[in-house]
Amino acid sequence: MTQIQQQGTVLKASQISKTYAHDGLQQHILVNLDLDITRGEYVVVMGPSGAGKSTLMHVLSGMDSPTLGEIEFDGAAIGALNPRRLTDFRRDHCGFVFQQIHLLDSLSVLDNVLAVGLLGRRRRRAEVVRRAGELLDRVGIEEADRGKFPAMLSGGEAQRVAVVRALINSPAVVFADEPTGQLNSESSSAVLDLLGEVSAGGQTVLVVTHDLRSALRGDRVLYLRDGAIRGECVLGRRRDAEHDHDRLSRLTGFLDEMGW
Amino acid sequence: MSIRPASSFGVLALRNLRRARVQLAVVALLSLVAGALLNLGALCGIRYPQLIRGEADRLDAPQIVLLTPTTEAARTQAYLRSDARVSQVDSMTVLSERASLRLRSGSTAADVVYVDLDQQPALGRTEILERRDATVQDPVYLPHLFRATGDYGIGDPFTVTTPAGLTRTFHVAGFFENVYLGFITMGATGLGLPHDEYVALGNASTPPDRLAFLRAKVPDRKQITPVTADLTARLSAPSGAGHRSWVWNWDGIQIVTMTGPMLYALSLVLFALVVTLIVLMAIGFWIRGAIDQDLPAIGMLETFGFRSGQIVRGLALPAALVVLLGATVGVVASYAAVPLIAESLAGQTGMPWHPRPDVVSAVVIVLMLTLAALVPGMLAARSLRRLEPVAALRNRIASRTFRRNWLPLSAARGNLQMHLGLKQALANRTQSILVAVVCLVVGLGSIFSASLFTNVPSNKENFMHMLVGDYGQVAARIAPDADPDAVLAEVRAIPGVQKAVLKDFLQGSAANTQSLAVVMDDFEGQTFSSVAEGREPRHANEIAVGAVLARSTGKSVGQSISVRVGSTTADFLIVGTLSTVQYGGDRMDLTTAGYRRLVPNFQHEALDIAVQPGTSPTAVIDAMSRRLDGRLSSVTNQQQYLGCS
Ligand SMILES: Nc1ncnc2c1ncn2[C@@H]1O[C@H](COP(=O)(O)OP(=O)(O)O)[C@@H](O)[C@H]1O
Ligand SMILES: [Mg+2]
Repeated sequence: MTQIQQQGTVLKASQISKTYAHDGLQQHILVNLDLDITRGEYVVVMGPSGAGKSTLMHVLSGMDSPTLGEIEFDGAAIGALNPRRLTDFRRDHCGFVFQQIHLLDSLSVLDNVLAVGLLGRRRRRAEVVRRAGELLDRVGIEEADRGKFPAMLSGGEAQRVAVVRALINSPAVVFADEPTGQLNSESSSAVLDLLGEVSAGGQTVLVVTHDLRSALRGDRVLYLRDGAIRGECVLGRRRDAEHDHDRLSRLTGFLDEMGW
Repeated sequence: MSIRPASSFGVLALRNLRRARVQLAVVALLSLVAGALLNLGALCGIRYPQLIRGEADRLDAPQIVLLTPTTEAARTQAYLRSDARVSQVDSMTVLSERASLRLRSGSTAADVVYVDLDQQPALGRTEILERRDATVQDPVYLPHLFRATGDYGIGDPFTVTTPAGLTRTFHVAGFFENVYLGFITMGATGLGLPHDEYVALGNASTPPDRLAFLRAKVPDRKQITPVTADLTARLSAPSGAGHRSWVWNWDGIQIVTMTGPMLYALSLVLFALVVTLIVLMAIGFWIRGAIDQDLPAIGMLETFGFRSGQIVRGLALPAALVVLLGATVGVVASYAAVPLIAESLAGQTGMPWHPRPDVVSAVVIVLMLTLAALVPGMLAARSLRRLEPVAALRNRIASRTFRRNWLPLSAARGNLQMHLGLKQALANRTQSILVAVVCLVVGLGSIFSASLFTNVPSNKENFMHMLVGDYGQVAARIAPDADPDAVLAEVRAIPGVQKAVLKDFLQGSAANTQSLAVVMDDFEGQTFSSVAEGREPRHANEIAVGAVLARSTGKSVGQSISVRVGSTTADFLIVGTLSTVQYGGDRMDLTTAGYRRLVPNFQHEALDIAVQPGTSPTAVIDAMSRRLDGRLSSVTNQQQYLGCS
């Protein structure tokens, strides 16, 4: 699935709303939101806390259902899938990095990755193990640390393992909810570089972040507030660190405009 | 270390297993108990009836036996031969007398039949089970029941006392098995003699009566009772007056021999069901607890595409495995208890029983329990399927229902600790309810099992009432030539007798269903009433029928039902239904006058006697034997026979 063609819409949200009712009060988290994500695009979502960024990711990935509206993946509505098909959809097409990491504390680092890797269809064990090794190398998790249990890892190491887990099945779309929120700058660079490579290889990446350095990696930055996309800043594909200065000034200008 | 996808949650389950060690140990132990109880129940309920049928086949047992004066033999034999439903008739001469035998519990009156062991009849062989090698003086072979109850051992002296006071003394040389002559308290009691002794007894100065022992084969099991009824109707016709004959059939044998094993099977299975229910609750409780504790991990797995079934399987399979192991051990271990049960049943039926391990029922039981153990997991998986991954990740039960904020602290007054405790309890309502339900079931289960343990072995009465209806501690059969009403009056006058009634168990068909007919007057004076709806019959045109019979014939109170005995048919008005499992629930209650509409010269033969509390049945039996010997053909301590107290 690494060789995906670069044009066309992979994810399309049409007029989606998400409303929570609690104690008789209705809370509108997303309101009539439209969004098109192109195949291979690297999209960054920013916005104040509680704006509904995580909710948007959940709804787009089929982890949660919108109250109104339609999500299409490759032109097919995922709202029409029954729970089992929806589960299979996530297994076959999506990868996730959670804000709270969520590694299984009873499994070793390697097994946390393999548990997901071996779940995918058409996987040969040796192939999965080899790929897991490669990805772990890429984010700097040493051979010696792969037998460790999550409780023995630092927050940064754990998050890097989680990123590897999200990428092990080469999903069409990678959803990452504040993947660098808890990382120091060295760890975050490793994670961001990996996500950049993935995107360059043709997979679609969707990242929620508060961090300017992370946001700079995106092709497009969306600003979410009060349940709707208030604006977007098209940065274009990042080639190397040398042009970051220019990108940064465009981004800060945009964010100032949005009232960040 | 690498793992398979399906077992990845199994590793998560392992951690939960470690946490739930005590719970699973209890599950294993209870599964063991359930497996053992079910296996014993299956052996009693399935294998024992097979044993009885097998013995009957092996010994070539006839379906109807009849003891009749030699003068009647030829006529009766010819009549049976002429009946198309009878395939074979066989007759032999036996020596017989009414006598009193000594048992540990006191003496009992019985119809004794001496058989020549060296002259086996064509139908219904007698098989020696155990014999002494060295010869004994005046040898006699006793039915195996005497040995099973512990009343007699080989070499013991054995005396038979006739009503005239004549005593014959023998020594026990061995024990035998015979389908119809093997009981002490029912029918006739067989005493086996070697040929020479048999001839000598026949030539004694006061020999027993010479009677004809007729046996008939009825190939169609359904015809046994109709043929018997027709035969009985003929025998009690005026031409056969004088000595009323004794008839018994295979259906009667089955009722007598099945009651004990069925009672055991029923209570074992009931108890096993309660235990199984507790096992399932414990498993369900454990799985739900494990899921609750690992909700975020489950949300993560679902997000990555694990199905709820795959997730729960990691928990349900280990639990089912524990049940599988426990039940297997239980089934195997239960064979240790078989000799105990076999011995206790032999004391009721006289049949030795050494069941071989039954692989099929063992496998079925273990599989059933294991499959049942998977049910709580399936239920948990079902409720998990409706839970969206996001909700699980946020550690919530369902995405649309945030837990209600009970007792918001901003509005709370009083002790903060208490408020926090209350909030905790309210937040975990489902868990609290589960705990309460498990406590309730365990409590009820232990009350039920305690009552089973105390009631069944020590005081079976409640169970027996359900199975055989109202009965007293003493039963007697009136001699054929005695006047039933006069005997009844005299029995009632005996001190210690609380209640005595004439009550016969006969056969007939109601709306073409073979049924047990309970014939007596004063049903309403019964201590234990079986009435489910309406009332018992009071008049000759009234009838009460078992609820099972009512259902199978589609009749209800207020309708009429036709009853046939032999070739006579009469209609009766249903005035009540009975809650009873006696005779499979096919029971009908008729008044004496009602039954006489079917058999005009019917006379009661059975007496049912309740003794006053504090009086020993044995004392009453002794008094009855003294005062009425000769007019009673047998007196039975039912309490002892049915294994009560
Ligand atoms: N299951 C839910 N029920 C009710 N409200 C929720 C639920 N999930 C999220 N919310 C609310 O939705 C809003 C947006 O949440 P979220 O998408 O997590 O914001 P963000 O990720 O942008 O910080 C928050 O106010 C949060 O309280
Ligand atoms: Mg968030």
